[in-house]
Amino acid sequence: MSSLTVEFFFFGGFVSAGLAFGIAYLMLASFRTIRSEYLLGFPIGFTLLGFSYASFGLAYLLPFLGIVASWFYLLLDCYGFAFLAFTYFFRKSSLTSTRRGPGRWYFLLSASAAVVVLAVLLSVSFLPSFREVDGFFRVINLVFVGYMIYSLNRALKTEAELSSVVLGFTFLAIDQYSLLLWVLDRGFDWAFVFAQLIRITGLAILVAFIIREFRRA
Amino acid sequence: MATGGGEPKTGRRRERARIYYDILQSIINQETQDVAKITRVQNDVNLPSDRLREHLREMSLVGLVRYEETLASTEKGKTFVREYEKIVHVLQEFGLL
Repeated sequence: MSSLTVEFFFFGGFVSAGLAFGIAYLMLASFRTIRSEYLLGFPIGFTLLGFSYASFGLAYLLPFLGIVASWFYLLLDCYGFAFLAFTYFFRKSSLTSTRRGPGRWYFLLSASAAVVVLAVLLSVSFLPSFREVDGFFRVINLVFVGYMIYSLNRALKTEAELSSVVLGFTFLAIDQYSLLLWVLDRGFDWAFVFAQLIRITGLAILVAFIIREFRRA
Repeated sequence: MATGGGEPKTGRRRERARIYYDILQSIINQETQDVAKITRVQNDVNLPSDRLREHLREMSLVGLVRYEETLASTEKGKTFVREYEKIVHVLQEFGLL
């Protein structure tokens, strides 16, 4: 792989991480005002996505960390999307039920994420190549993002114009789909490059939307 | 899409921030015509008198309202209403409210 390609993936990973952490920070501010337990899934989800993208960048910056960083990238990406999808699920269930569920589920999800990350750290020498399971994680992520877009469209059914949030999440879905294409045909490098670009664009749309709304007089 | 007051009525318990928003909104609406009266605020926000007075005392302590002989909103209270509406709007656009 040429050094230019390595630099592109390294910067792509860290730019994506910065954008995801930015969304997490802005959504945390919303949670601190509204204080609904289910909303906590959003800042947690984007924080995990941020760490996942940073791991991706790190895998290219420090090749000796390649296997661990790539596994972190896969796992945290999946947990991040799981938290986001669960937020939409609990949003819907909080409308129909008064049971207090989100906190307990978020705790279980966080605990399982911590256990899995620890397991990866403790079994570095036994880890199979992440490429063997890459496709499986992409399909799971696509299911989570698909559920988010479906829930969002149901919530915004009265909106006539295309929402920036729907557009941002659709770009994240295309990112996962492109990565799945790359998994199916490793020679199709453009799908991998395209995935990085579309992910940065999707996250940038979400950040720009939130900042624009917060700055609106 | 509506903001602030556009939150669906779900039977859920209102969060403290939402109650403060409703109280301030009622006070600000009344101030555009006349002075704010506590009985009208009580009707608008649908709270028992003792709980409303408790909230008003808390809001007065953090500077959101002036609650002495008269009831009035403060600049900080008006800023809180604007910020709350922005956050609710963002969460609505994310399909989370």
